[in-house]
Amino acid sequence: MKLLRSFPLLAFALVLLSIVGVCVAQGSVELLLVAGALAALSWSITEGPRGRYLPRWVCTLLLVAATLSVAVDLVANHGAWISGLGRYAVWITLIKLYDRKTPRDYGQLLVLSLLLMVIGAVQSSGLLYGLVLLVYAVLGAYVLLLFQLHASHDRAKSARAAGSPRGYNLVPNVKPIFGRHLGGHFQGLALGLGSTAFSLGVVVFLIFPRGLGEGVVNVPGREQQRMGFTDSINLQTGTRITQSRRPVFALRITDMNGTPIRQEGALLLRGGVLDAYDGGGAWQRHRQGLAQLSSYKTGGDRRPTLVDPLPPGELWRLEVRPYIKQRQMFSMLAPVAVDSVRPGSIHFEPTTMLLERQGAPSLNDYTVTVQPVPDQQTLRDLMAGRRFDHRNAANDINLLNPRVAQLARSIVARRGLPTVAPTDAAERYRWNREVAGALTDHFHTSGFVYDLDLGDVVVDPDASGDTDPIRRFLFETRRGHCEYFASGLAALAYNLDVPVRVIVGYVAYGYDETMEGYVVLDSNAHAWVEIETAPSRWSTFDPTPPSTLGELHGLDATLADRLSWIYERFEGSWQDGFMGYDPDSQHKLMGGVSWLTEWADATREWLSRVNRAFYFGPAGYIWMGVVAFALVLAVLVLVQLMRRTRRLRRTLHLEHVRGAEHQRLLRQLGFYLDMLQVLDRAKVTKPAWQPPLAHAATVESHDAEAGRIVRGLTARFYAARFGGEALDREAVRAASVEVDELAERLGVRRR
Amino acid sequence: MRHPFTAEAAAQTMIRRYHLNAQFALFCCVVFAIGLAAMNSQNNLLFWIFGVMVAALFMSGLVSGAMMLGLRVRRIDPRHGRVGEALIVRYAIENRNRILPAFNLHVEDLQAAPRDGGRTWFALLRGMLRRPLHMSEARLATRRAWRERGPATFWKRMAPVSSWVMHVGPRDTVHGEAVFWPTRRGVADFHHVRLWSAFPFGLVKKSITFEQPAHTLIYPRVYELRRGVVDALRPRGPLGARVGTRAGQGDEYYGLREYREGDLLTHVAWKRTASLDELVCIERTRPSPPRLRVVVDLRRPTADLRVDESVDARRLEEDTISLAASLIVAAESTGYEVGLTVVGVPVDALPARSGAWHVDRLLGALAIIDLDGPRSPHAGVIGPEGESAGLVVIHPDRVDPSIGRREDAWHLTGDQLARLGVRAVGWQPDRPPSEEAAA
Repeated sequence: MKLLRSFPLLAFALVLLSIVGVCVAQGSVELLLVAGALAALSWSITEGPRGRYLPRWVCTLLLVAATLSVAVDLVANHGAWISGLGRYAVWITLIKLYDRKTPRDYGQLLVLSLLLMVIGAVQSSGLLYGLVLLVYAVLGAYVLLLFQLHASHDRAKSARAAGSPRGYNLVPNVKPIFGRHLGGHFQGLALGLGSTAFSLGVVVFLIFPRGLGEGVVNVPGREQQRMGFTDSINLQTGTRITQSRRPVFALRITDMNGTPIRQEGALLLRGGVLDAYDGGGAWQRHRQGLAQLSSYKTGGDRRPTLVDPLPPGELWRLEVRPYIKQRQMFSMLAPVAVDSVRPGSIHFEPTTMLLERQGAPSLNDYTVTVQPVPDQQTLRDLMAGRRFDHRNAANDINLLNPRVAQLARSIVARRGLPTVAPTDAAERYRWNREVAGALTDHFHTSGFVYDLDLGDVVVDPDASGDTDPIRRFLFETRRGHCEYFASGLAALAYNLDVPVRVIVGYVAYGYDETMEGYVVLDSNAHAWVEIETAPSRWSTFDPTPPSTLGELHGLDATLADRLSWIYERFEGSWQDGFMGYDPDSQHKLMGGVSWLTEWADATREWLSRVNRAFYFGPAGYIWMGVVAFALVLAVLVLVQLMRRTRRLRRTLHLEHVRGAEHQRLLRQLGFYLDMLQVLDRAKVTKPAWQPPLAHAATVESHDAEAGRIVRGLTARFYAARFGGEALDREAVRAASVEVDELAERLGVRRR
Repeated sequence: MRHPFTAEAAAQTMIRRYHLNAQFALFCCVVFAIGLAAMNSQNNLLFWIFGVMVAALFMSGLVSGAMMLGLRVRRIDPRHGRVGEALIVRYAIENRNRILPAFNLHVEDLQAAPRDGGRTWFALLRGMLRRPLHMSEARLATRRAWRERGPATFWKRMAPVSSWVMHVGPRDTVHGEAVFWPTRRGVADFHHVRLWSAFPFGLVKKSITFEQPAHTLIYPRVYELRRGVVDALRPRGPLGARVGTRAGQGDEYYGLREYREGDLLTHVAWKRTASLDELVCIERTRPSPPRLRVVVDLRRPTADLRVDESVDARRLEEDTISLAASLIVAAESTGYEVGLTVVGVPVDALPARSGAWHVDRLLGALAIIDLDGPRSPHAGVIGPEGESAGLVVIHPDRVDPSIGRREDAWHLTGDQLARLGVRAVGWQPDRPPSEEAAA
């Protein structure tokens, strides 16, 4: 019995898969190694004829220990209870794997595995987990079907053993009884069931209303989504930069005609402007900027423009499709128009030219129209006469430092530039640009190293000596990631009184030919610097070594990187197509079946036209309803008549009777069919092999009166069917009355 | 009142039902919870899991219903059973469906009819809450029967063991079997056969109940008797072994006849052959085995038996019947022709014959004795007139020599079963007769 024997192994595989799934969802290699190894070991220990199990009391003890351990873990992790629950479920599953396995235990194991997968689904949205879930669903459906058989077999065996008297062993064990082609039938049914359930599941998934009841229950301790981008910088947490390859959003750049544009090199997408340094390594957004926000409504027919009218010259459209919920809207300089798929409000900050959603973070797709090479007029219009003030008290206190100023001056002097800013405005802006270039080059050429492993760099703020991370970076360590480089450049420029601000956002590399755009990942988060090089114009300077930047963010040449890139593309499609399925996608999908609503509209319009054509007025719809009802009724009657005719033809064997005779028999012998139906309702069905008169005799032997009626009707049937006797209307009516009498006699309804 | 036709045809009637159980309720709760979690978090993986679970629920009802639609079950009526031995009842399960195979089928014989009429949702819910999780419909029906008729059910324990069939292919028929454990003799009634399955996911249970009334005889318990008991009862003298009046394979001379091809040469009567000048063979008589007539004296009603109050009189009567059955079986196996007369109850006297079929007949006669029925104080005719057979009269309480007024008649009492019987044939009774006697 291969089918039943395969159950333990498949159930074990399913449980193992669920453990792998939750480990993948939690991203915990340690848990995977420990739990996976223990689970795998359980198979060799507990299964087989020499299998050994843990005693129940040991299992209970382990359960208590696991509960305590997870409770302590939860307290230590400040209530990250979903992760804790996942680990707890893993430990319980492991204990159950070492326990004796009755059908009830197997049932519990399957429920536990489902629980693990649900926890995993709450925690992860990655493609890898999605694949594990898919395999789990397929295998789970098969194992569940097998479980029914296995449990029933076991229960039947137990029941027979329990029912047998003590000491009486002459009754054989229960063996599975099955018909032909068991394996084929089972697999076929499993396949059919699985595919149908999957399809129905997809339908439910697609049509279930999204956005309903979102965030009703605020789950405490719910893990926040990790994200490479933050609108602040904290240099104290030196190793914070994520290397996650999770897609953040997809970006497509086109011209105004929709032709895709491929940008060579790095594409910097601004998400935040930081201009306040607190001295402890933290850059913040200065609060003054908030007073200058302008709000725009999107999602309407008319795209809100930030500059009216749109400037002439080259314009690009940046189509952004977020994969994770964000408030920030990323774009290049200089945005001139913005729109989103769903209606919403967008804030625009003129002095920083940043865009931000109002309200909760969302997955709403948006499009930003930018002028890639902004002209002065556009910039002036965008800033609307305002000016970004880079100087503030916090910076004066924390960034101004003689040693840094000395370094800055020495760098500028080495380039042959004046160390003091010119007084003439035009000269000043030119000087700003040249100084910024010199300072940027300093980072590229003076032995600064890009490094993410900064565990040794982070110092205790309470320690003695100079603990400022920027100064330590500039003078001591000379190692750091993009945030250090940007902060260093900003500090040097600020000490020379050059208007400077730190920008955080993403750098997009690696144009994807197939999707004609970019997939921006978590690890593409970046920081750079903008320096005012003309009135209202802030130019980008990136002190991070360009080679390192390309190496980190770009398409690398190694096979592993290429494979990784391929995976990321799939991940992007997964996030885009599945995880990113939202009310907009649902709306678009429903648009595909808009023919239904169109058809309904067209019908309504047609009815209206008909009504108008006949001058019926409002009562016309009632008339039309009556006509429609009559039509439906007629169709139903017609169908009934056709069914009756077919049944008559089959019962009376009229296949070979043609022409008028055929019609006559159909017209006249309906009573015989009615009689057979009455007898059938009275459970005296006429067998197909029995001649009508013999059946009448059978009925007569049970009930003389009923038999007499049946015999009379049968005689009339014989005369009409085989004797060629035509029954007139009266005779047919009389036969029908007799059928009624028969029904009454037998106590059944005629129809 | 039901028309006779409909009553006759009711044997084919079916009752289809869906049974909602705790697993279904639990699964619905889980689906609901996942749906809520999906809505709250707008997590598409949870939405998908929710969708698949809803689909599984839907498919569970659909498939189990469609699967059961074409199923028919027929009980292959057992000939008879015997107390102490397993009664195996077989069922032919036919799947008339052309496409869909059926899996995980349970066949149960209900000893009571399922409740008629539609059940309201409220009643369903109430039943679901009240019913213990492990209790099947058959067990519930049996429990109802137990309440209605008292504890004297035919089967060991309350629940009859159901038959389990793993698979029936489309347009295929398989045979399943269930083992019953008869606990007392009599006429065992079968009423309904229920076929149920919770396949594919165990969430929705669907059943079809077929009304198939039938009955079978349960023979009394038979004990293996002590060695020599039957020999001690052997009729002697003119009632002992006799010479038959027909030719056969015995030892006595019967006559001569002409030689036929196949006759042994040792059978040739050589002297007569020589005188007649043709081959002549000697014919022997057919041996006639000794005959024994077992008489069961049940003239006295149970309540009037002359026994101590501590003794269960009904049990004593059953022991009497068991002793008679044991004697019949033992005597027949020893080579006797055995006849049976039951006095006091309306059971016809049966002539003395041998053979398994005849033993079945005798045991059947013992099986249908209704101890609750009216008793007749008259002994009537003990056996066929002129029958030359030994006589063993078994009384439940005390010997009453008014039956079998013969010198060579043996009189036994029911409590002697404990002394004459070595052990019960088949599974042992919960309380051996010796203990019963001691009590």
